[in-house]
Amino acid sequence: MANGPTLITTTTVGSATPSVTFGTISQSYSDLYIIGSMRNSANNDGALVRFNGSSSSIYYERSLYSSGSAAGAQITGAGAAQTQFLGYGNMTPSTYTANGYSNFSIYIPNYSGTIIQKAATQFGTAENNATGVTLYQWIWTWASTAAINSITFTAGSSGNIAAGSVISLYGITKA
Amino acid sequence: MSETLTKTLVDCSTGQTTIVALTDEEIAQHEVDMIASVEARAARETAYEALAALKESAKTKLIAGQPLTAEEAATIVI
Repeated sequence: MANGPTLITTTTVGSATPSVTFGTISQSYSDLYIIGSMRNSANNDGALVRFNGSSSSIYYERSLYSSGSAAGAQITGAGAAQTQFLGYGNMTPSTYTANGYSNFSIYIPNYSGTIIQKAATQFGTAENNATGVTLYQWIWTWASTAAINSITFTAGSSGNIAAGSVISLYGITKA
Repeated sequence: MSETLTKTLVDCSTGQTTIVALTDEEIAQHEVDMIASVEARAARETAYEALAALKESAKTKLIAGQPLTAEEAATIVI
C-alpha cells in the first residue's frame, strides 16, 4: 500500500438527509482524513459527529472560534462529557448566504488502535456574505479505546444535510 | 401522515449508499440529540452576546477614562 492519502469513498448528497454514516471503515490505514462541504436546512452550523454510533458520554471538545464580523478568538465548548461532538463550523447554517456551503476537514490519527483514547481535530469555516465569516478549530477527545469503524454526521437543530453536500473519507498510510 | 426519519449509510467497503428508515430506538435518540443540539446552540449564542456586551462596555469605559470591572478587563487582557 502506498504512503499518503488514499480515497476510501466519497458521497454527494442527492436528496436532503438528516444524517450520513460512513460504515465498515477499513482498519488497514494509519489515520483517517475527512474533507467536506455541507449546508444545513436549519439554523445551526454544526453537524453532530459520533464514532461507532456511540451515544455514551465520552465525547470531550474545545474550540477556538473567530468571527469575521468581530475581531478576536474565544474558547467554546464546555469541556465536559457530552454524548456527541457538536461540530460547529462543519456546516453552513440556513440563515447564511443562499447556496453557500462550508469547508471543513477532520483528522483522526491512529483510529484503529485499541490502546489509546482517540483524539481528533476539526477545522471548519462558513461564509456569510452579509456579515462575515465564522471559523472554528476544534480539538476532540473520544474517551474510548475502541477502533473507529464508523463515523456519523447528523445535521443539528432537526435540519437536513442539504443536497449538494459532499463528504470524502481518506485513509492515510504512514509506513 | 408524518415524515419518516431516515439515515444515509455509506458502506466504505463497497462504496454503496443506502437510505433506511430509523428504528424506534434511533428516533428516540434523534429527538434527544436534537433537543440537546438546540439547547447547546442557544447557550453558545448567549455566551457570545454576553462577551460582545462586555467588550463593548470595556471599550466605552476605556474611551471615557472610567475604571473597568474585572470581567471587562478580562476581555482585553490576555
